[in-house]
Amino acid sequence: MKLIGTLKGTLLAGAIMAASATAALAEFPERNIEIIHPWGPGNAMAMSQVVAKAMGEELGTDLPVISLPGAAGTKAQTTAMGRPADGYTIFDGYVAPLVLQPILGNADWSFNDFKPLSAAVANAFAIAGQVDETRWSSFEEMMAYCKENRGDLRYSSGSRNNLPHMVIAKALQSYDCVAQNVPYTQDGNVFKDLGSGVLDFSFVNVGNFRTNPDEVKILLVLSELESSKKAFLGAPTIDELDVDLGLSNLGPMGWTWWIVHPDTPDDVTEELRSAMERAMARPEVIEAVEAIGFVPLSWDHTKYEEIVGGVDAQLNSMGNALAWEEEELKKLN
Amino acid sequence: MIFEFLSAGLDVFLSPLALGLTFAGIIIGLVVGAMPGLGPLMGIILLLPVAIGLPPVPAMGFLIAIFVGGSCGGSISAILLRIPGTPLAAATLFDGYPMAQKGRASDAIGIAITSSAIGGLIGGVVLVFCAPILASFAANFAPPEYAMLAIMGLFAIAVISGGSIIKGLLAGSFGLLIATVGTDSFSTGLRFTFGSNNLLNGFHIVAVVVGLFAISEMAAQMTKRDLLKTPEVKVARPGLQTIGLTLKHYGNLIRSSAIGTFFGAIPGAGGVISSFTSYAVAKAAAKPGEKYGEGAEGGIVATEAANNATVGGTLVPTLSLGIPGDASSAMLLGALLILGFVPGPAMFENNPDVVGGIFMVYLASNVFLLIAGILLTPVFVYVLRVPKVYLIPSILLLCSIGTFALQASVFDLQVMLVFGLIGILFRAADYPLAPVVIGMILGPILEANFRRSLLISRDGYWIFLDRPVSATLVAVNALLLAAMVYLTIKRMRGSKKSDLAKAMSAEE
Amino acid sequence: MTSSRTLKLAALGFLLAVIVIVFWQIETDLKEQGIASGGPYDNAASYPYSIAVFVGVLLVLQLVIELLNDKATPQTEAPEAAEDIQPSDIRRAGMMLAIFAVYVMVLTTIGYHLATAPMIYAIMWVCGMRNLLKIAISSVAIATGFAFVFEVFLNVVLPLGIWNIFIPW
Repeated sequence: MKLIGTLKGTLLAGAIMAASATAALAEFPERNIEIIHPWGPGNAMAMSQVVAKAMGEELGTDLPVISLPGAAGTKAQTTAMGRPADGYTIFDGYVAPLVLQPILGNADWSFNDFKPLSAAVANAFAIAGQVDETRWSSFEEMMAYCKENRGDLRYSSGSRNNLPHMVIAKALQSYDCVAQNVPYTQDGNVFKDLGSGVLDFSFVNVGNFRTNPDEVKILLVLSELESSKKAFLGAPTIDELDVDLGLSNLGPMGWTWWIVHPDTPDDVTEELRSAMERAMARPEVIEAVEAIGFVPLSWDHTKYEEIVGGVDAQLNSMGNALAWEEEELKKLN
Repeated sequence: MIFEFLSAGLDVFLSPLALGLTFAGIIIGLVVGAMPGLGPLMGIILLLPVAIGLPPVPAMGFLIAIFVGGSCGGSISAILLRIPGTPLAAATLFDGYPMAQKGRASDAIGIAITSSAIGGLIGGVVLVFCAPILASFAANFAPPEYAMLAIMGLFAIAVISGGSIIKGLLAGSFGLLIATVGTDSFSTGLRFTFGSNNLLNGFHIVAVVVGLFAISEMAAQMTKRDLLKTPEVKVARPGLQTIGLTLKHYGNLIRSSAIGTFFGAIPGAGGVISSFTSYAVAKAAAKPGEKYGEGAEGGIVATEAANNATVGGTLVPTLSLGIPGDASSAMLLGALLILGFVPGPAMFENNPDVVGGIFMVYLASNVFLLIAGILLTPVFVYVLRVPKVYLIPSILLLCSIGTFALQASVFDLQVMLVFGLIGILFRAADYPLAPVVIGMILGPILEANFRRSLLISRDGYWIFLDRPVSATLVAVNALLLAAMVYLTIKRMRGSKKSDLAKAMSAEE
Repeated sequence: MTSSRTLKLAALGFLLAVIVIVFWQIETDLKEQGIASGGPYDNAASYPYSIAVFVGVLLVLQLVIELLNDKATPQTEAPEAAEDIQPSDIRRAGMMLAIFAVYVMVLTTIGYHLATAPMIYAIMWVCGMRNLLKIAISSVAIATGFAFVFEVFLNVVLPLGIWNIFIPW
């Protein structure tokens, strides 16, 4: 009874297979390439879309960015690793799923399990306080207050156990300051609650700072790079503190390298690498990246081991700051 | 302050993409509204996956226009087929169908469309003026206030929505529980994921909602025996003179729009209650010559102006507080979240262009409704004649591709199917589905703000009573709780269903 | 009447199963992760626990109400809502769900383009359409039309299946 339908289906299938067989002879890429992005929509995703669009123009295809948030980025990473190693899936390799989560014991991969395409962008963080604060006027004074009033201050690093949390915890530990982190899933609300005095200090990235520069006071830029200091309008950096946090270069920053599955064929990887390098070099891409508050990175794949390995070593050596904070908070309760 | 938003929004709004999609949304809305069984909510659900790939204002224009068009489209089938395309139009039937039988079908449709557009515009004016005021009032709301608002939203929908309060609360709590699946952002632990990588971020709300509503609706449609039939509908083209006919009822228009906007702004009330209330008020205020129920123009004006004004009203708390008034606005809120914008005072501050753009697309969609409604009604009537044998597989396919496209995930399709089965069970056992959606949207807001309040507080639960606004909301919630107990006992004694209750229970 | 009562009990049973799963997971998995105790920072269990308890109370209330209603309204009040749905009508809906379930299951393996037209074909058949050529043409047209819109305008990569089948538009 279903003969005609089956027949029709077979014919259609045959036609498509013929079509795709001819297409298979054509050059890579013959269809859309998906970018697996580990966060929900926001500045970071807009960022990836800028790079993806330029790269798509270089390759002559579309590069849709697919947002797969969850479990500090590990959901996206795991999903991408489960895809075929054919170059049609690129991972937006943020520091959190790529380096930080393995250090915290939540993931079983290492950054050198992947093939790098090129570095993409970095994003600097800072610690911001209330504008009309009367209890202190600088980061160091705040730390002194905190040491006197253990557990009294409330701050937010966005999510718990993310990179800003780790860096802030490290800074607080250096001053023996115990404060309660209050997780917020949406940056906008952190800002609002900082403004209305519910929080004492908070992490802030360049993008959020630029939207309301008058509503917060930047106490400390969590980076020693000159570009970061400039982005936060010359606020003091971790370089100017009298303690050494052991963080330099990309260590305390958020960043992403685009990577592919290790089994991806070399010719395909090369094709993607050169397309990405050309895309990252475009003036309009650099302009758009800077407009959103990110720093475009110009390292190519040969620097991957050195740069990412350096971050890995730095974060590894300060991994106990989070555990220290948890311990101290438990003692207070 | 208000014009600041409108001018900021104007630039984003005046793009071919935003204008085109708003117009397309109106057409799609009118079609899904006119088709019996679908409605504005289903339209939003089915096309949400399409919208979230777009820039924010065109995406919201598209979805809001579907909401607006869908709230009006039901009147077309109510008037022509005597089947309200949506429960919103159930009261339009009372006078619309008798009018059509007297040979005035095109007048009836014209009046319905014009009243909808004018009601929507009046609701829009209220939205543009009230939302920024409410948002600036809420600018100092902190986690305790949001936690209490979320509870209020959940209680309100159970109290106001007509049916069994206990069933409403059960459905809402089920939504709250679904929302806990995934990574807990406070402890970073995993809840109810059963070791599945796919569940690390919980269930995707669109997969759940498409399953609950659309798949179960298609199953319900399959049980009917008119799958192959081409419905007999006569083409009716409303003329421009119907605008004049409508404007004669100016008093009724303004009153009904006010009622609609008011009920829209109250979480949980929604379009069905406002259209029935406004119909009843109009009937009571009628002149001796007007025969309500036998084809009075005023009856159509009252219901249609009210149910479209509700859309404007419901956007007020949705945008300025992030607390949705009904399931459709909950989905709009969900769409905004997926697009990366958190409705609430912060959005008014940080993204005035998006807020203003949403105001503009809402106002524009009502103007487009008038234009498209008057010019293209014959087209919608033609759509009513497509047999279900084509519609059902097409909608199923739209559900599957749309849900798949969200995260390129077949797992989401399985989630959709399972929730389709749950939706069928809930429908069969007479549980409302809308509270599940509200629960899923409000759940994370409730839990995160509740725990955040406790973390911020230096003296435990007192934080909810120490802050004046939060304490007021606690009192309101206590009152709502008392009302629920009272109504449950009262309804157990006399369980006769009114027309309103019937329409409410059919709302999904 | 009996069937509607069975359905009501089934819904209550389903919700009961949901809260049982919540309690069971809190006792096992959440405890193992160490997130079932402590303050609001660490305790991920207390919120779902409270809701599950609330649901449990409501379930008991609802059960009591339904038992009382059954007694109060014996068979005299004819169920007006039961619009004489025949077993054959239910079967159609069941068939549709079954076909759709098979579709979802095989989609990853055989890909969108091989799976979709047969799915639509089968559902149209279940709907009662018997003009085979008409079904075949419309199912292929619907499947290809949707694929075109999503792949070309919305950049979606539809499931390719193990044979990597796609249409290079």
